[in-house]
Amino acid sequence: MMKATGFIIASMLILLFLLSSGWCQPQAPLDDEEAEFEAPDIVVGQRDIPDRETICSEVLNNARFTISHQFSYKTKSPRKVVTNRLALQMKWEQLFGESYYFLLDGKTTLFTGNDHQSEADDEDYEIRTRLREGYIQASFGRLNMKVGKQIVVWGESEGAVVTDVVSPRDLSEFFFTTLEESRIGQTMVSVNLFSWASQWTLLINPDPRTVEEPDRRTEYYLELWDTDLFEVIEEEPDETDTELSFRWKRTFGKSDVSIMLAHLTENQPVFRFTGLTSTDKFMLIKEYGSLKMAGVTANLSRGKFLWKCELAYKSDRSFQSLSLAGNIDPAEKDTIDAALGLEYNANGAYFVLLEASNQLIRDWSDDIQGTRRNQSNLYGSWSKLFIYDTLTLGYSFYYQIQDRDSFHKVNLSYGFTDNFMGSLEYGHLYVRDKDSLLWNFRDQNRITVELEYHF
Amino acid sequence: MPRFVILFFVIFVTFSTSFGFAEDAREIMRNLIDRDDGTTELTRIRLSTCRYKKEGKRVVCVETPRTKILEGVRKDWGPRGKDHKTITMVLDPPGERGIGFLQYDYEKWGKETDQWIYLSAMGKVKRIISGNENEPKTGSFFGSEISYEDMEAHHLEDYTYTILASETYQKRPCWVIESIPIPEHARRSNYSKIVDWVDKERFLVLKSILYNRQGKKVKRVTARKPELINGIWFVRYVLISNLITRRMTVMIFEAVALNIPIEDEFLTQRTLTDGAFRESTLKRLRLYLK
Repeated sequence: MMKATGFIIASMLILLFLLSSGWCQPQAPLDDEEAEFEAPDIVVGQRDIPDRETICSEVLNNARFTISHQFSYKTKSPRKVVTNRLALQMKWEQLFGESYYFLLDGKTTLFTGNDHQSEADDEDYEIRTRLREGYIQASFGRLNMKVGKQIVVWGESEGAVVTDVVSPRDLSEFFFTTLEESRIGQTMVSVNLFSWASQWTLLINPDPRTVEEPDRRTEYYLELWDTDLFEVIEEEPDETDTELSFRWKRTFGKSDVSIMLAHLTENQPVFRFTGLTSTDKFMLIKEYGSLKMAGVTANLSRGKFLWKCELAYKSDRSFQSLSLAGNIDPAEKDTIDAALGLEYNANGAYFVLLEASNQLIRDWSDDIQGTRRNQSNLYGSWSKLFIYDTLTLGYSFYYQIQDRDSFHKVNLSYGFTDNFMGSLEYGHLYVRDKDSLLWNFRDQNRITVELEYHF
Repeated sequence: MPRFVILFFVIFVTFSTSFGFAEDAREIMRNLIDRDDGTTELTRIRLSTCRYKKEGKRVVCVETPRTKILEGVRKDWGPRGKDHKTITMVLDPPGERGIGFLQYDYEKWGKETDQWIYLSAMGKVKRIISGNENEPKTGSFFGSEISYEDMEAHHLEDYTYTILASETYQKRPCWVIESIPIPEHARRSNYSKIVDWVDKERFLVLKSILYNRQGKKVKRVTARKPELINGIWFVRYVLISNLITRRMTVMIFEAVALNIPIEDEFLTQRTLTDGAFRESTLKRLRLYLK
């Protein structure tokens, strides 16, 4: 019986092999499904580029809108809704005449009552509008000039801030936002000169902005100074301290190289003790120093790999100092910042990015708070497309080497149609040490759902 | 990051040609590759992809097609005019509008393509990599049935050629030519064989059948509506159907301009970031579109 069964199975396997290898099939014609596409009357979706005949339709054609809803939930105790907000974003680009180009990019957000931004203000809802960018650009020959609110992105690194220091960031959503979303526009003048393979850029920023920190009582707000003991007076950046930045960028074969020089306002504040208030509190001035930077970036592509590096020397950076004698003052130090990264493309199957970065503070003093002499980070990401590029699965991590803190993010996004997208994201923070800078955020894991409709 | 820029060598180039007397299969293919396709080009392309079924004599989508509208500019350069610089911008859908790609392709065998991407949300030009040239590429162009290999330069030396038959297709007399990759190319190709139907009188490829590495038919590419534009045959309508997944992509060249004056500077990174320069140049070039 066993022998007979074995014989039958073996025969079937041989038959299957022969069939799959094409044995005993008749000689096929060159294209045996010829008839199927004989008729060219193929029905596909028709969506025309709208008529551009009138000024009104041209203006509308050059505008695009996104309606989105974001909902997120904190998954560690105390569990709660963190964000529940509806947003309308408009981006409008328009050419005027032959040489003038106008761009407007703004977003209005409705924060519902259980969103942490509304909760912090005890409001049933809040509406805020932000102009991300709004500028006019003129182009003449090899020169262009841009005036207005604009975002400037420098550097090669995606996980570290080495030379990407011009545009400050909005930190009100902590790690739970994209780098692109967090950038803050500044009103400035930029001038670009293009030669064959080089680009020369000069930025003049008379009104520097700084990092936007989480508002008091919001989910990611951190009270640095006990309000019973300290009174903090905010000092705006000095308006006479215009930021000046210069970049030269050139492509050499498989490599792009940039050199930057900049005189900037610090994006992060420091505090200075100035005396006692009338209520006997310690009075602190919150101020922003200035820094000078000389930096270089380069990339090099080789087959599946793209190498990226950045190096910057920053002088007169301001760090918070707190001495044993109780002095609270900024300490000016020079730093050497560096990042090295590698991107890998598995021939379209998936994509990987790994980056290592370090900030070295020269002439280190133990009085300096909130950072380390060497602050080293690892950043990595992996992504893969599925279902004809409609589904994307991504993972990214950030690891702080000295504190051994890490943040992990898994993201799944799907395009239901060409215009309607949905995403699901989970962010998890590991903080091991009570002395860690992130200890206060150790429970901030959250899951986020977002729906977007573009039109 | 996959290649996004449009270089329709397998599909477009082999469908658009004009040449003289062909002695044998290799000579026919040489003329296809070396044909005059214009030194510059501006196109607006609609790319629609869906699962399909046959309904009577019509082939219809069984789902809402995914559609992209792209605008592309090409300029030839290099010692033989066979290197290509291309800029491609996404016009639609709205969520992807503003994405731009710059690509430099080289005729020299083994010289890797240079590619950059600009995402308006990202706010900077980023160099991207297309992967190893010595292995088969996976993934597709915007989720369509056009693979990245379909868009790569077709080198004459990569294949051996045979005329299989002479037969009538689309009421036109055609040569049927088989292209088999040489072992070095077979290692990095997703196809084990390509069969082309070449119009003997108009010298156009009207159909291609592509076979996968297992030797099974995987794609059928058919051409419709060829037009003579500035003395160059140009196919307006290309259908790529995947015979295994039963999905198809219809690529329609809605507007075309060939041999128009395009400055070298337009095919640089400046075009990705300088909105005034890009839009004013395109406004002028669009006047040539047919």
